[in-house]
Amino acid sequence: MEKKLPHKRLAEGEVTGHFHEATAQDAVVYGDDAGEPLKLDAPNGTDVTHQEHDTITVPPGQYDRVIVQEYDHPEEEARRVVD
Amino acid sequence: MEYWGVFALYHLNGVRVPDWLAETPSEKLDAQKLHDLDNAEVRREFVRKIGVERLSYSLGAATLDTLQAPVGGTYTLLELDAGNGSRWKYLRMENPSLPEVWHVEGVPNECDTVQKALNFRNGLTEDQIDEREGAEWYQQGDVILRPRGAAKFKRFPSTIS
Repeated sequence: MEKKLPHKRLAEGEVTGHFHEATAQDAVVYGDDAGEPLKLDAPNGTDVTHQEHDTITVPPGQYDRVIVQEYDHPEEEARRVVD
Repeated sequence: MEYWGVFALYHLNGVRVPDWLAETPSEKLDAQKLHDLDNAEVRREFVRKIGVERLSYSLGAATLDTLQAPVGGTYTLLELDAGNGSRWKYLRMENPSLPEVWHVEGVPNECDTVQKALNFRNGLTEDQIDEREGAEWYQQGDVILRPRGAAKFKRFPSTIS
């Protein structure tokens, strides 16, 4: 069950504290019960900002938020990239 | 952790490691030491400490494939000798927002092309890619935004930073 989150952050760095954030006033980020962002609703589009990355602009729409993954060879398993 | 100066145990991220691994500054670690490590968790801590970029260089990683993407710059698929007969594959890429800053991320050994490695990284299968009719998607660092409900996607993001 997705629920509206009280912020517009799409992901937050575990060690840096940096975050990806939608800036449009009417943008809404939905997440799971644990607060993990899952979806972005941007009816009029939005910029997404981050402290180290250039701002990107996404057109109006609803988006699934996906985190890229990497393969941990020593552990022999795929995992989300953690920044 | 030292006990009365008699003996000491060394840990990195909760993994008991040899004293030289804990005490040697990362920039002074010898990449060849990788081959002396039989334990997977100790080997993981070694890689974590020395950095896979320097490890790749020092171990003479082989370049398997290179791709100049329409966005995101040049991607290189590397394979390095991890010791004990193991070969590990990594995808090297430049940070699109920070020139001269490179990332090296592990990919499954089944990946034999940059494209397959990128598909794995982006959570896409080749069946989901439709370069003509697929939906456009967007990427900022490790965050991907894909139109909800779309079944097919372009091969590369429309924007990446």
